[in-house]
Amino acid sequence: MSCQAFEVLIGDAGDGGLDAAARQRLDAHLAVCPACRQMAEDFAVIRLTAGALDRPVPSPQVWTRIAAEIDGGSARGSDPVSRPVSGGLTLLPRAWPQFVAAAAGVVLATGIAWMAWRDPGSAAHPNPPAIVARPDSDVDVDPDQELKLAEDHYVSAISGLEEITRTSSEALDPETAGVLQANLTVIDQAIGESRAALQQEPASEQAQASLFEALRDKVALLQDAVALINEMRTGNAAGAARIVSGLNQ
Amino acid sequence: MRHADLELAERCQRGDAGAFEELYRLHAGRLYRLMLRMAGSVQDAEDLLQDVFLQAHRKLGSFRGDSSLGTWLYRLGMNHCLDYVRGRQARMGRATDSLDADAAPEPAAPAPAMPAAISRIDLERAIAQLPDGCKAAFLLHDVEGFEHQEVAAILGVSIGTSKSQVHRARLKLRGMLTACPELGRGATHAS
Repeated sequence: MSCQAFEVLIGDAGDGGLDAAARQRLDAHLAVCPACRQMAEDFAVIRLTAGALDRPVPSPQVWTRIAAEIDGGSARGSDPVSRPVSGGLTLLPRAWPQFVAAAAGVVLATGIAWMAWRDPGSAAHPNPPAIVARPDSDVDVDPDQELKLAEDHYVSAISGLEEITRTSSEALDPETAGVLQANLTVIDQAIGESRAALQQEPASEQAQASLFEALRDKVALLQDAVALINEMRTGNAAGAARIVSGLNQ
Repeated sequence: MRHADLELAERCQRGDAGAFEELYRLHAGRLYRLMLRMAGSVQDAEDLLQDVFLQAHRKLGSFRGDSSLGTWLYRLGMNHCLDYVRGRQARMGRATDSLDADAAPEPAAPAPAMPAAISRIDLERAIAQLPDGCKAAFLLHDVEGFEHQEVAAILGVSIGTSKSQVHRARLKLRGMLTACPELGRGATHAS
């Protein structure tokens, strides 16, 4: 068989579609053909990275508009989100107010996590302090500033949560701490990549969305870590096991 | 066809708003990601997603259960998305490739090795440069995790064509990530 014929097998092998005999033939060829071996390795890297790409979600307004259309309304004309924007705003993601609102929610959640850490009994506080106000989307604001504000909220939340986990990390067993650190490293890399991409292309929607997703991931992971520390401190083994299971996914 | 699919389709056909919202919740995320990467902008992807679900709502009566409801919906979505992307390219005078024909295999270029790790953003940029046909197959298979059989059903091609399109995409991505200084070689880590 030629190398070109083995290319098909390389693809099938990566997709798990090779029988034992074909797998054996391929392995024998890869053992003596550096070019095909390199291709198999490169395809594996591409597949692995492709499967780990960001998983953005549509803004909630999409469903709102669909539901309004189905109900016979004229949401498309009346919804400010679906109206074409002009000038400098066209390059900004339409979801930017959500980044800010989400960031505000993150800061609030961080405050609650902090309270829970300080006093495990206060986690369900009915009236947590309003740490940051939800932005009013009707107000004429500079989207660049708002995006910066949103990022600052996330960074501030991350900083607070990191402080909690740093000062209480002895509550975690070394294996769990290792998993947590490995996950944080991956997310930090994603944040670094997104920031680098934004430096090159400040208006890139993809890079903006990627940065906020990575920041959200980091906050969520740190919140899990704080919750886990709380469960350990209160001796709730079942709750701790549930959170550890999530950390490992 | 799975009973749950049939039941959901029937509830949607009866005008059960909750059922249609359930259909949306089940499939909107994956469809949106496919459209975002095919069309290249959040605004286009959200508009396409909205169009597809409104089309689906109108056409649910014609759903006969020959495939799963999900496959039917993704096929509707990918057809609409490819029509849009190709229409846009035609307006811009760019040539497009075909999904239906088996693409000629790319030459196995003896390229220098690709970096052992590539960043997600570099890969996103390289994917954006793929021709539409192999991009669609690659996104469905390698990014969203559909099997070749499902990719074939969604794109309306044979399983062999699905495999060759994904292979073609991987070869092109490998070439881009190896050859372009901004893609691949600049990467310092995986994510």
